[in-house]
Amino acid sequence: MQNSEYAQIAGVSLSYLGFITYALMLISAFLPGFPGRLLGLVTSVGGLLFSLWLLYAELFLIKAICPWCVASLVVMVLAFAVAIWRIVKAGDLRSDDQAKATDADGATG
Amino acid sequence: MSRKGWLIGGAVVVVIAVVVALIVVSVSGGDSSSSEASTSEIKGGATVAALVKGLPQAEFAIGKPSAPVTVREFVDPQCPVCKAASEKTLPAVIKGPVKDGTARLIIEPLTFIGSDSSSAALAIAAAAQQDRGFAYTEILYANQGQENSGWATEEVLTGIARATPGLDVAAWTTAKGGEAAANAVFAASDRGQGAGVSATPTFVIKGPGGSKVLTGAVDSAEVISAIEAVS
Repeated sequence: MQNSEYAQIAGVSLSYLGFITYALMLISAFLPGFPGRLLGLVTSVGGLLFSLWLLYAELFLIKAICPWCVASLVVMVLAFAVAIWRIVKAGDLRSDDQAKATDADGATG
Repeated sequence: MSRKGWLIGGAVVVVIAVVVALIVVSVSGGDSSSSEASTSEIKGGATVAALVKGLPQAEFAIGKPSAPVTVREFVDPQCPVCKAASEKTLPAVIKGPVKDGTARLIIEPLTFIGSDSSSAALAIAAAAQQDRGFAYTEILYANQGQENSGWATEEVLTGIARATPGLDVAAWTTAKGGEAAANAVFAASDRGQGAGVSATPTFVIKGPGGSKVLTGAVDSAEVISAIEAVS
């Protein structure tokens, strides 16, 4: 992957993009309340989709498996599951009336 | 749905759009700055230019056509031992028996290892049509990537063509996809089979005094003494 034409996007190395994504994910874990949960979901959805694209590129375009990319995909799947769990547990998808009735935002942040 | 639900939905749609855009840019090869960056990363141009300077080159060969000894080096563009031979064994052979007119070295590109070998071999054959097969091969080895990792991209191969002294890149690009380049690679493969080559690099050294075959990691002293033995 690192030697392939897919190692960069518009001159930016995938390593830097990955670093930024993981840094945002780490921030989301410590950010309380809804903003933290939203950031966690956004970074994990983006990371998961991009990791799936890399898996496709490895299998069908480059025809070589990159262990770091596969490890990153596994981490992204777990991060996505955690992000969904945080959102569901906090009741962010319920209607505003229901949410007001059982507001547990602070506790689940 | 709640206000938060709408926010979540909107954010997810935006992030999906961003990832799709990134993938499209990645597939289209990025902007010109990325290709310029990769071209500037091509190594070995100056070293090879100095090595071949003043020596006659024809097709895949370097050295005088009248040289009594012919050294055919069967290589795979992806083979790491061939890269080592290119960097450690060949310079002394070129500066010695090739330069003094005793031997002529001919590169025979084979495609044992994988698809990167095939694209690189075609690139070598296209350069050979302009008598730059040897110089192109040597610069290619300076930029060799991991076996079958997809390293021999259009971008890398074109960068090597740009770094090859005296090569017309536009003509090389056309030749690379042509029948003549493919036939030259098939012909090299036939010669390899004819010589019983089963590993790379294999040096087949022929002269008036007979012939010798050296295979694998050989140093320049072994090649030079084999040249002396058959000359």
